[in-house]
Amino acid sequence: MAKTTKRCNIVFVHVDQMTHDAVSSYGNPYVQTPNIDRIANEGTSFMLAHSGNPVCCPARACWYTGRMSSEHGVVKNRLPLLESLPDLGQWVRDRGYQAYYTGKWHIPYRRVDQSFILLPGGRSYGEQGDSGVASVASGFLQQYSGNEPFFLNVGFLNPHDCCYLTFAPKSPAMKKQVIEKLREHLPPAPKSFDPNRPFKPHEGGEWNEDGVRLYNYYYYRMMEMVDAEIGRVYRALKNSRFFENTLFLFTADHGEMLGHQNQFKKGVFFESALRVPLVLAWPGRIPQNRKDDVHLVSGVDLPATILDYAEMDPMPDMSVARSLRPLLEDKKPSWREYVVAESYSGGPGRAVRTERYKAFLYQDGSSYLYDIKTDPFEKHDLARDSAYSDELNRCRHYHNEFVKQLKLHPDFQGFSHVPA
Amino acid sequence: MMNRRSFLIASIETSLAAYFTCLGKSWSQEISHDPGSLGTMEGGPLGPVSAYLQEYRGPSGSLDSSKVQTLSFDWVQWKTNRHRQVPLQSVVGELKVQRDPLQEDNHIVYTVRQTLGQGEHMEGVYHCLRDKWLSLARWDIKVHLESGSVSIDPMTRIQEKGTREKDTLILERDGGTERIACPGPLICRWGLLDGGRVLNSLAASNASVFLLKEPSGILRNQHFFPAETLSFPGAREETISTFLQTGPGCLPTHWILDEQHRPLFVTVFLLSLVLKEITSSGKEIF
Repeated sequence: MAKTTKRCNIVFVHVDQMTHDAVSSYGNPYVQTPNIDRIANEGTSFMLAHSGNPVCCPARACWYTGRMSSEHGVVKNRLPLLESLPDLGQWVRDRGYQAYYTGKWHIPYRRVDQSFILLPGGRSYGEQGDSGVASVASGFLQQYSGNEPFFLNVGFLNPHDCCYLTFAPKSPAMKKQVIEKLREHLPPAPKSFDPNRPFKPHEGGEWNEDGVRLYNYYYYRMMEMVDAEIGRVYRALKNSRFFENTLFLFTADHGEMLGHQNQFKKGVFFESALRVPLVLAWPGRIPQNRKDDVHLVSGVDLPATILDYAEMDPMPDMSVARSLRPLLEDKKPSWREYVVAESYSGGPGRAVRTERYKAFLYQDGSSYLYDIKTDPFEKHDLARDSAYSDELNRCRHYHNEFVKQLKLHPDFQGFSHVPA
Repeated sequence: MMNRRSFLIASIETSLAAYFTCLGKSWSQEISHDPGSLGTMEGGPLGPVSAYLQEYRGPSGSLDSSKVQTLSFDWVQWKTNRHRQVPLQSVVGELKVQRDPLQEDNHIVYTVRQTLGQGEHMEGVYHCLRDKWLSLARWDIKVHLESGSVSIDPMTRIQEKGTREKDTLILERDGGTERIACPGPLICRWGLLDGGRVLNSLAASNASVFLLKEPSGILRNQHFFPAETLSFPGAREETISTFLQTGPGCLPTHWILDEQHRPLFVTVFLLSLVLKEITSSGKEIF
């Protein structure tokens, strides 16, 4: 692979609430994502990428600090980021980059324009709309004339807003009419959806199997629309003079349950909410059309990777973040045996994912264990099966080992150990 | 102003309610037993949207499509009462479409000016053929998002052009030119504003129809479901036709037309358009 002498530009594109397999080239027949397909074809996909915390604000704070949520403090939406922590925008800006942002930011108490040069596209929640955000990013890539390398962040909102569908239509009759119109186009309900199990999400009243199918239909349509906007940014980069010297990253903050386990939205450790797409592309520098389904990756690895390619030191105390660059350059580094995610949505908890198993471990002592290899839809909890006690204890050991590496936030030190 | 979350919720409900209001009395009887539905809210048996439709007189203006017309729409944000049950109308943007059938190249030309939210502007000129779909021949779009910064503002103006040549689209966008196969008619929503004729053709056709969403991020096959109609007896007879448009890359869009095939509502999940005025003078009004 060719070496560059000039520091690379970086384009970091992220979407909100996109589950890991909502990509047609990954084999999903219910959605058409030609633009993500194209990027995946020209780059490397990490198929075992996990959100640092499958909720909007915490996951984003993980991206921009390289720290776990129990370190940076944003364990839930609306909690403040630890003021003393630098973020990625500030870090690269102070080291010679021009850092720009457009679109959804959503990190509480950290104004985006204090860390980045803010382009039009909203200040926090994606209020400008994805089409406007793509237009701004496209215009930037066509016209940027600075001498410094740039770090362009593009935050798309969708497919997030599908979750508002749980508010409406409230009337079963309304829903039924739409379902009948679209029936032949509706994807099936997820395999882990059980129509005989009580199913009442937070909003929108009762949802049956047809309702779940409708939700999935809308979700995939929103996915296709944001795919088009992602394509505009990538196309603008390819048409620009920067393409040969730019690292392009695409991912999502967290996934979406889509009715898996009879749940919508996020905040849980099941695969559909926890796993996210992650694609990196750079012509001549990153292998094309490669799917890495071996290495376990976390959201905190993104800033480590960006800083590595930008030839900068990591931010302080990024103790568990790993740069993906050695993997992308086939240097065969020793890699982590497990990856850990956090969520405080159902009480303080962490998920430990190994090559084969995933344990959900909570501060209250409850635990769950799934064999992802034989039970990919996580329907059978093995935590109380004595045949799997060694696996569960191994995950508990990994958990404790992992937390020892963290520099916990003063307010979140209560959950640092689980007994084996 | 409502926050975005409340707006979306209300808009979605209102969009769907507006659509289903038009599906007939049998349905209204069914929902009358649902305490959470719009159908039981104040404003009549079909709810406030129904009441709005029944009272809606439509804009005055010529239906003679051989002349230059200008259609003005409100982008609607739905404020609600404190129970989030009764939507009220509020304007968040404006759209003006001038329809000119008098061009020398035998095209029908739609000139569009649109303002969205704070500082997002679009101007476009769309040349449509006189086929049954009013399919697009060429277009030119300019988008500007105001930044308030002299150094950034030039970066936030983009232009896009497109031309159709047989089954190929030639697109000048995002800093480059590309050719894309488009084996079916390419339509745009401005052509669809010619309501009944075009939507009927689309619903009756099995041809692949591609939709341009400008800036042209999406060019995908679309489905059009035939119209259903509802008559409102009373002080004024009113027949409403509804069409459902959906497919890959397109959220279900409900087109609701009056008996003269003018679009009363165009509802797209998060946003609704309401026709408020038609003028027909042949003069530039922009």
